[in-house]
Amino acid sequence: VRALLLPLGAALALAGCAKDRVTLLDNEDPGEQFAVADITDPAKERVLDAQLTELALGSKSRPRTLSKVRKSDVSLIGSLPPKAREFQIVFPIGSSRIPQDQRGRLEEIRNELAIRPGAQIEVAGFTDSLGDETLNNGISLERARGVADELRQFGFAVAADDVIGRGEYDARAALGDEKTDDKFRRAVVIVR
Amino acid sequence: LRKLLFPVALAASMLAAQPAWAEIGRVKTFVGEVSIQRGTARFPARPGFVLEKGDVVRTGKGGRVGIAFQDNTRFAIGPASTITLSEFTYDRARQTGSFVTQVNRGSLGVVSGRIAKSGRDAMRVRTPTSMLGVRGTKFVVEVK
Repeated sequence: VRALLLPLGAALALAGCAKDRVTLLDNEDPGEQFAVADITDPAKERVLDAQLTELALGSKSRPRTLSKVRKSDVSLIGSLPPKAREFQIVFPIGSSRIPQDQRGRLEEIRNELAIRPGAQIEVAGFTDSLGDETLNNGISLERARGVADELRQFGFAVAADDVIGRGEYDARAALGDEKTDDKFRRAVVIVR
Repeated sequence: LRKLLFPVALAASMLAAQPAWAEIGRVKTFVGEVSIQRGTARFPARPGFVLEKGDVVRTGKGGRVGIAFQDNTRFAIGPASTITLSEFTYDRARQTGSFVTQVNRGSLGVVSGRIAKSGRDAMRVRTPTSMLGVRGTKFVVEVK
């Protein structure tokens, strides 16, 4: 009987190892929520919320802690594309013309794009909350379009859908209405 | 006239919110055999290839691919994988949306982006046996 049970036990153990899994690695956004949950049965959620914890999927087992990251996961994570980068260009009050002292930013963006083949470029324009909201919507879009046109002149493709004006919404939410602040009079270029 | 205009306006607003052909992300890097199936068509991967909702990404035995999405989510798909980008809606102004990925087989490494932050389980990963709610940020799913 023992001769029969031993291989059976080994086979069962191997089958257990072959289960589908989810492994929580680490948090790239400290301060933000860090968790993955098995919500197949919402009444019996199984939550991973600590670094290097793992759940076997399709089972009822509890999460387990790993001592180190699997080699195959290290290799997989190594294939992730680089994180998106953001660049900001600041404008004077009411203007959508790129100031001379901000043109260095365009060079930085150009250098970043040169090392990211197939990059998507998104340009969003903003204003502070001073002045008329409709006018600010227009200025924010003009800022975004002006920056996008500069990048197109460098030879990079910026889709029309990727150029957006976000008006004074962010500034009003942060400062209240009718406030001026440089950091909201900007265009943000996201390269991903 | 109002009866006529209302459905037209509604349809126009729905198209603006979620065009069926909208870009959801791009292939950034790949090695080995990687293809994207869209309906009955199959395309070889290349850097900059624009992905749409419903695309199925397949890798061969030695294939790997890196993908960046519009909400800043990033994927690494490992060898011998079949991954379906089932659902992706994203409002860039509000930075909210929903994202469902199906891992049919193989391995998927994820760093979640803005959609996962926009609401509880706004980002989900489905496997043949389970549904996962993503709350952030870096994890791996493997389906044998």
